[in-house]
Amino acid sequence: MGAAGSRRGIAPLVDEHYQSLYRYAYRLSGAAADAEDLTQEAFCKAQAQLATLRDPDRAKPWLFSILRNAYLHRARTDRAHKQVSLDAVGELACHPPADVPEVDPERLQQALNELPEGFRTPVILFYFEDMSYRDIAEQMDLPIGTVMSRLARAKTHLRDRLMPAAAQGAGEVTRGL
Amino acid sequence: MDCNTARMLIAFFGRQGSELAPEDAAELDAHLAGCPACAATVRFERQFDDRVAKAMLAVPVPANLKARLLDGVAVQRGAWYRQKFYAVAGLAAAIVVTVGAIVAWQIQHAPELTPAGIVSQEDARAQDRARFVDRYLREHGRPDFRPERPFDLNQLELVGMGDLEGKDVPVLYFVNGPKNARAKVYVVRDTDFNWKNLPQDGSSQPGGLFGHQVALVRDRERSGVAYVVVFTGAGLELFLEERSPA
Repeated sequence: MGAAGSRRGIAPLVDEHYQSLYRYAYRLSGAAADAEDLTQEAFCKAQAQLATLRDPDRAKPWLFSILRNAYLHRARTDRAHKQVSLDAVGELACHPPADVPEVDPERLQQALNELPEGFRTPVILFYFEDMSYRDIAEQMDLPIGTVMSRLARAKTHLRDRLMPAAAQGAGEVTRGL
Repeated sequence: MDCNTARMLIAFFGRQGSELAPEDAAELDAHLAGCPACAATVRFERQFDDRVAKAMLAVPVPANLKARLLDGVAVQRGAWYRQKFYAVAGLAAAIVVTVGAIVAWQIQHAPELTPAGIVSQEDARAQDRARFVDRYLREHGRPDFRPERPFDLNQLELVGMGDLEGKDVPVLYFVNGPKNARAKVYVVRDTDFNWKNLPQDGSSQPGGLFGHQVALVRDRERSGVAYVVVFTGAGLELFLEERSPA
């Protein structure tokens, strides 16, 4: 058992990270009940695997990784979300509106739910955790170029759903990125 | 840098300028300074990112969630300890049962000691020793070991070749531990030695600084074979088989 992790136990980690972990779970799953279950499952798994936490400073990404794996495990057997195709990356608007309205959290969730998990996770981590591309790539075990590409596509989707007026001002669509 | 490249860079590196390589960032800044349309796009993208980030965090955390989570991990911990306890207890029980079974088997299958069995075993060992001695003597050109007065082969310690008056002859070493007595029995032939000066009646002849005695024992089958015994202790009888009184 990792000396630092095992001495501290799971309670301090719950105390410190439960809110951000729950929010992450909520944005991944799109439902409060699922988010709570996922958060509970993540902390239980973390408790069982506490030995593998070598560096307490890395507890947060470690917990996020456990939660995401738990989510993926569930998602494999539950594909209820209607997902959109993300073959295209829309170009940025040539003449965007000067003022950007507030984003409704519920509409944001609906837009996130439409994204395949491989696109939803990086965009959540990007906005929610303010993670760098490199951190996201490490978290998802993907090349950094793939992360950049997926983020650009996912942001295009969010822009289309949340700011349709701005999307109308966009130029041609670039395909195949 | 043209507008298409600038918008591409903004699209890929919109929120965190630090992700952009320094030379690309400098080129982009120079382009934005002279292009109001792209500058407006950047402003829009940054505002959009900020709005999304704010909405992303707007997730109400249920009341008492922390307490429920802590309860959940405590329950799991209890289950883990119970599981561990049952596993250890099961292992201990299995070890006890296995050891018990082994001990019971050993007790059941322990060899039974009887006087007849022990005597038979000792007889077999003595026969083994006699056979060994005979084989050794034959290998060295001597007849089987058949002294008129039988030696106690349980006292036999060693069989080998020894020097007697400058000649190598087979010799048997006997030790009587309780009486602290030793004997060497040289197997001789009359073609090698003339033993007429040794006592012919089976008695021993004392002599020497260390109390050694010498006796001659004849072979009971061959007149040309005899056994010269050099020994210490109270008498030659210490090395002979005990005979029950008639």
